[in-house]
Amino acid sequence: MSSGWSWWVIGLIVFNLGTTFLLFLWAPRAKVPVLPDGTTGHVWAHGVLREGMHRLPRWWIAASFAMYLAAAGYLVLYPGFGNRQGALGWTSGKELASATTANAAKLDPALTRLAAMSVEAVADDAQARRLGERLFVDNCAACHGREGLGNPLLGAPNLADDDWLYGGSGEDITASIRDGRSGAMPPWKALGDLAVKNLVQHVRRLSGQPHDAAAAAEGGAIFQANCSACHGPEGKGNPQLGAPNLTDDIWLYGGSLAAIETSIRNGRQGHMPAWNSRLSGAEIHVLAGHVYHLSHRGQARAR
Amino acid sequence: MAYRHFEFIEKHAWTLGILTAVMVSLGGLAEILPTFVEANRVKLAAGGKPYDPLRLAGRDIYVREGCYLCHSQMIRALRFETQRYGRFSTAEESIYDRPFQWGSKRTGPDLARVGGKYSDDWQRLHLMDPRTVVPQSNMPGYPWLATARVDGADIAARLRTLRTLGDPYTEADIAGAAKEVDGKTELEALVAYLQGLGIANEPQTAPPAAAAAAPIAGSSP
Amino acid sequence: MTSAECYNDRVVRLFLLAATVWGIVGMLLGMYAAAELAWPGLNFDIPWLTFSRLRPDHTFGVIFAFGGSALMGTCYYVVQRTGHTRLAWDRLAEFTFWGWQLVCVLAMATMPFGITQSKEYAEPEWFIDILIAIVWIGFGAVFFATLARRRIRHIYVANWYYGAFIIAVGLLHVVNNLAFPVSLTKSYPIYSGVADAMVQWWYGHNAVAFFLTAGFLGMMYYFVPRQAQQPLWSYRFSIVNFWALISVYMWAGSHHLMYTALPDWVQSVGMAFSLVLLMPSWGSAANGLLTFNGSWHRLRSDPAAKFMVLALVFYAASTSEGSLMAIKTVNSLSHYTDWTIAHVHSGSLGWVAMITIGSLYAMAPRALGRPAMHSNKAMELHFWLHTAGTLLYVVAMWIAGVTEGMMWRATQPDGSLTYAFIDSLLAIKPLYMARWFGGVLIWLGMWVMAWNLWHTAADARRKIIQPVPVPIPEPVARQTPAPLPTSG
Repeated sequence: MSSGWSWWVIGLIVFNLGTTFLLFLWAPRAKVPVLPDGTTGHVWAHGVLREGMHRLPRWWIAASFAMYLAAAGYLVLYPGFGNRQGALGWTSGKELASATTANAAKLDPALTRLAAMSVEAVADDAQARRLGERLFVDNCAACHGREGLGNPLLGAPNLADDDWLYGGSGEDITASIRDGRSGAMPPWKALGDLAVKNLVQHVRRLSGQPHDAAAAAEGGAIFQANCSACHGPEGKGNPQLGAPNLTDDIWLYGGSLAAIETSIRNGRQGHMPAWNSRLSGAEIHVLAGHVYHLSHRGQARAR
Repeated sequence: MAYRHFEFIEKHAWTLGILTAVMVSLGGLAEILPTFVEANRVKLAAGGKPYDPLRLAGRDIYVREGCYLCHSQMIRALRFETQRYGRFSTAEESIYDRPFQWGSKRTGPDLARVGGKYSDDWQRLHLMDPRTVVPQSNMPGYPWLATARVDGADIAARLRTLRTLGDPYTEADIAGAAKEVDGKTELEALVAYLQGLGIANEPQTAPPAAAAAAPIAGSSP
Repeated sequence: MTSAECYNDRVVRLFLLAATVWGIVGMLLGMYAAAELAWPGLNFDIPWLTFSRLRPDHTFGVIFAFGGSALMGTCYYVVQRTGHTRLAWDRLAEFTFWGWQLVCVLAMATMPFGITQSKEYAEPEWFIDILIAIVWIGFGAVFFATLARRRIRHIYVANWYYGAFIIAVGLLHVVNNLAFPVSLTKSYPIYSGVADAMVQWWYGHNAVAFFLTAGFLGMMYYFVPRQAQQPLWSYRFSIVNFWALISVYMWAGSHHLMYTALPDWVQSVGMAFSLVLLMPSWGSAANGLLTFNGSWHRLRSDPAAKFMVLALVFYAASTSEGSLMAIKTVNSLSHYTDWTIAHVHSGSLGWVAMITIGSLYAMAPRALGRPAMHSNKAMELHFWLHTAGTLLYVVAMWIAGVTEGMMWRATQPDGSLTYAFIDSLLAIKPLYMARWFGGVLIWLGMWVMAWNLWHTAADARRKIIQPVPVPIPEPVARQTPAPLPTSG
């Protein structure tokens, strides 16, 4: 704020607080003519409205003084009186910085301690569990659910079972969180309706679900030609690519006929954002420990 | 001051009215004028741009639907806020915000830096039916956004108005606006806006206090 | 001696009717919106029924439609009687009535369809804003022209407040709504970012100050001494409170933006003035309450007086709460939480609605040519429904707000945050249900009032708009206390 504006603000503050303060000093001793009945003699509304002339209550005068004093004191101590910085030199930025530093002094030792441990060890650490759970609920639960059971509408995997798309070691989990993951299964509707239907039956067979054997056999050949590059000839998937294992009964987007058909026909582009710009390395480490715990230490759970 | 002065004021309607008008103007003159002048001096770091047409359309949908009634876009300079939501919001970040969307109530979380936090898919699902992704949520669904289309001609008119108000759109921006939003649904526009929150127009150099605050969502350096 | 002229009470009665209808509509909207927060299924995926589209309708409905009608109606009633003169410009006065109703209908019919500026309490788009400005100028013209033809030289304090209300709201409305239209349904404000935030909360806070406080203080200053049948407690108190209140209030808006990107100095100034503001606020409440000295026994038999006394208590309470919440440290806890909701509702349901209801009960029989309201019991029932509902509402939201504030900042000894955001929502869900139930009680009370007014107006209705004319007596220079006349 330029000094011209500063003086403008100061002037207006002084004028406004000054006039009201003078008024406040004046009011208790103002000499206003009063009638013997204690009213001002002003009469309105058919004689119904009249005005008394009581002294101002003492508590009010005392409290007013206190409030003017508090306001003036506040403007002396804190920024506000034009450009003046205030006697305390306070700014909201400084307050935040010192609060953050003070908090970091508490948090850093814990994070440093945990950073020196492996993810697998962090998973068993009581303090890390609590830190991790809060981070998980604020950041990850929106897709994976509070308990980490995943959401087939998003293709967000269940984190509480022991099936892993991209590998379940501590390092793999850390990498998934840090860099994010993007699934990239292309759409296959170009293969034609019949081929897609046959493929669906083949995938049902792979996972041991009821299927049409003849169609599945047809589908098997199409699978080898088009799908095995990612999902493997036996359909066991490939953690390098995040291609899911199709032979278990764990489904990212659901294992019903309709869901499988949609997946094949339209492809799937599940996306997990990278968290390295949002969370610190230490936080990601703790989160990885939490996820590891969900899968390996809890009762492994299906959705 | 003596009583007769007050008596005079109270017996003359015009005097009373004018003095009242003067006294009620002081606060605004002191607080708004300098803020306005100062705000006009706040400049973006190099590379900062006003909203592109799709995000602008999304922003106007955000305004229309009243998202600001439950979501703030203002991370206050308080440790527990920066720890949860990321670096505190600065004046630079909202210089193209007409109207500002800082909000006054958080029934849902702050959105100032929600851009990129979730996938586009998540944003779409969540807007269509929030409880499919967050079972405990009490947010309403906005399924009608998926079928409504953004009106290209209207967006061009909006850019032109914003340019009149001083936002740096070029003639080419305005001419290309309709094409950029062509065929887009309102849902796509809103998701584009949300995904840019806290990412575009962030100041390039962190203000001094932010340097002490941890990276982003920084509970630790 | 009586002049041949009569008061223009027709427009007063129209506003009285409108206030009752809008009160029921506005509170119904609030009740529904509250239910949606507790049971989100009630949004039914219908755009115009969705919470975020409905909430501005609730706030506009209760503040401007209900509150505005009550204020304009009582203002016309009061300015005539305190000046012993008929309203100036009958036609213009009638226009302000229909104009204001049109404003309310237009605003409330457009906002659920997403036609909004998103500025809280100033949501209606530019074409409605222009209409508001026109009606407001008409309202000001009628008021000041009536003042000009008053037959009592000294202007009564109620009119100072009504005048300040008209001037300040006009100023706030114009400055905050300066915008550049894109089309009929969309405009962009000329301010952006920080400046827009400052202007909006200067407006938002002073909409509370001048619409919801100064205007209703005008109402209070007339109807409280009237109902207490006592002289106003202290004239010197009125003077200092008035000038301090109207000027200091205007600085306090920036306390809505503590710890935000608004420069520190503006925040501090807002906080300092908010502290000073406590005194004229308490002073006004005290001036009203002390007026009841000598008449406290009337509370036993007069529900209207009971409403007024409780209104003043709520006013004193919520205004001190407001100054408290303007303190930076407290604000860091309360802001963005339901504490704010509790605060505005203790002000609006406790202070604004109660003083309005009390004043309507005092004014209605006189404006309708009856000796008293139809049913005293019904007034009594309304009082208890309203009081119970308000307390339930406010206490539930206090607890919810403090819970949210504490949970958002709760930090473990190791420096990590204790709760995720969603935990705070889960914690307050039962309180959202309790708040809704409080709203239901209040809304039922409004129906009791409507029923009572309907029967009180039986006579007036029979003579359809041929109400009993109230002749204007010659003003008297001085008068010893007399028993209340039944009319006027």
